[in-house]
Amino acid sequence: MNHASPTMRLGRIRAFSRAATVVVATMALLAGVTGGALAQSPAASVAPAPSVAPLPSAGPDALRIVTTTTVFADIVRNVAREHANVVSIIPAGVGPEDYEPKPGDAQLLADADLIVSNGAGLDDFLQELLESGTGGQTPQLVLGDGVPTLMFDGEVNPHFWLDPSLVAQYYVPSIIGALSTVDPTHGADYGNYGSAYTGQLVQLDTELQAIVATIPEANRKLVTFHDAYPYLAEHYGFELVGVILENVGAEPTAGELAALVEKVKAAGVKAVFSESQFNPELAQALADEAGITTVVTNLYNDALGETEADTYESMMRLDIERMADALR
Amino acid sequence: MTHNPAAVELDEVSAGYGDRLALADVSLRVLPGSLLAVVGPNGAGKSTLLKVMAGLLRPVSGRLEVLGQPVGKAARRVAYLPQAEAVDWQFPVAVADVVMMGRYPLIGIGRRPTSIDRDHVQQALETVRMTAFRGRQIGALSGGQRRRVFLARALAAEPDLFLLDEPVTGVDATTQEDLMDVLEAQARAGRTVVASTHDLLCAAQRFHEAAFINGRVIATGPAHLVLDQRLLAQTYGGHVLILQGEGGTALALDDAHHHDQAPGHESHFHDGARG
Repeated sequence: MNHASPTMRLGRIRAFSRAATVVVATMALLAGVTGGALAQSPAASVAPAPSVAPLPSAGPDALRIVTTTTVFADIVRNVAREHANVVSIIPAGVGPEDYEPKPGDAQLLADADLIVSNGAGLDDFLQELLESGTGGQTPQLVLGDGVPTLMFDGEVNPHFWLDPSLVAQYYVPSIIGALSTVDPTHGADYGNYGSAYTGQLVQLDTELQAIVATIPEANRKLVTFHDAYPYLAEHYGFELVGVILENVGAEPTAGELAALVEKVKAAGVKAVFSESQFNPELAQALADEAGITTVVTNLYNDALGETEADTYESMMRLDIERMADALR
Repeated sequence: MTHNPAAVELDEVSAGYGDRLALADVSLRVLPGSLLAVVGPNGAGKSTLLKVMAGLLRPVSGRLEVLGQPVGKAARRVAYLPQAEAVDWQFPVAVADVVMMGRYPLIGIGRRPTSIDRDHVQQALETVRMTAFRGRQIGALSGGQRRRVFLARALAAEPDLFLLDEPVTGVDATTQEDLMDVLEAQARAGRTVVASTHDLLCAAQRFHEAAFINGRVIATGPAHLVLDQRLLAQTYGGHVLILQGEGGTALALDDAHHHDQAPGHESHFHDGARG
């Protein structure tokens, strides 16, 4: 094998990290690239998630709800069912951290009956949009308010929803509350639908625990592309060894990457994970450097997928299955 | 509106699903503090009437005011309880959480329940005698216990108007008595209760007023009129059977039945004519 010098390698990594920050804004163009890498990944053999019955479509009197991301749109849809049309500002396959608002977004917000965001720094573009537009009077639900937070790298980490027990315990009740407030006529329905969805999430969590239990305890170590998984790691008992991009848009320095390589080697990590919304080559480069042969490039977390992982529940199943397949 | 606003006022309201009208030209005035039974045969439009009042079904025509406002505007002060059969209760949610859902419209967006909300939940559970079950899963309860919990959820919302679809159908006698005691206390406190029921004896004995419905309003009046044979015959057409008991009291059943010759002790009314 041709051993490139660490310096050369790190130079290459830095170039890709610059590319990755651009990737976020031009995701559709790169979806094909990611998809190609995905087809060769060892996790591609994972069985597809069980299909879920489609939610009933909303009528003309339905509420108009706008969410920042596709993940929250799916969760809200499960509580509102036929009583709301739910639209995500950011499309499937695109992450929120670097989202650049489009001209139509302000109008979408101005026409909404309820605006749903995560907060905790995930979707700050929303506040800018609201300040510049006319949606400032629309009722707003910030899902992350009140959720017990974990710090990651000195900041509150916003990825609460990647722990389904937090979605069941915090997101769903606050969605039921917001919908019942905006539309009290259907309050009983929101309570019932939300409770039924809570039941699904509890079942999902039980399933995911069982999948994680198949991973040898010593192998439950994660190295991921960005800092999406502290809540998931805490809940399912993974050790979070490190992330490649500590902040989307902020390049890791050569020193940081060299340190990560050392950390990953020392911890005996079995696989490196990246996400469908990012260019996978940076993760591949880190794996090469640390002598890791398994690179999974198709996790989902900030955005649902367009073809697979197109609901919150199927996304969670797919992530945990792919993690388990790579770490067993 | 007049200086004495009705809790619910329908003026020539027609409503239905698709092309089929379930209710035609219904005019009805329900005063605050009423305990009103809506009676009528299957398919008479009782559920439709409650859904229209709850703002869940938009009338095809007519005018409708609820708590002095256009329907929907006062929705926060209205508690609607659908027929028990309409919902799947197999999900794992605790009794107290179900009752707390009644508080949500009052709590506001993005806020979490406070001790005041928890007190209301506790009180509502006491009222329906379900305090001991507060931590139990809703799916593990009997039908009668669930009915108590859902009434507690309605109570926790502190509504001025209760709209209840068959609240005492299919529950045991003790539960029925307890639930009616709760509703009666609410009416005495000035709140308005409108409930559909198949149980004509319960309607006659436990409600204060009755509305006879069969696609339209046949009659409204004091609840004891429920046992008026002429009104029953008019409301139920061929589907009423009146048994003359030992003490001369009449027992009326809403029940389809067939016969060639009525037994001697029964009076049958078919489309208004004794048969």
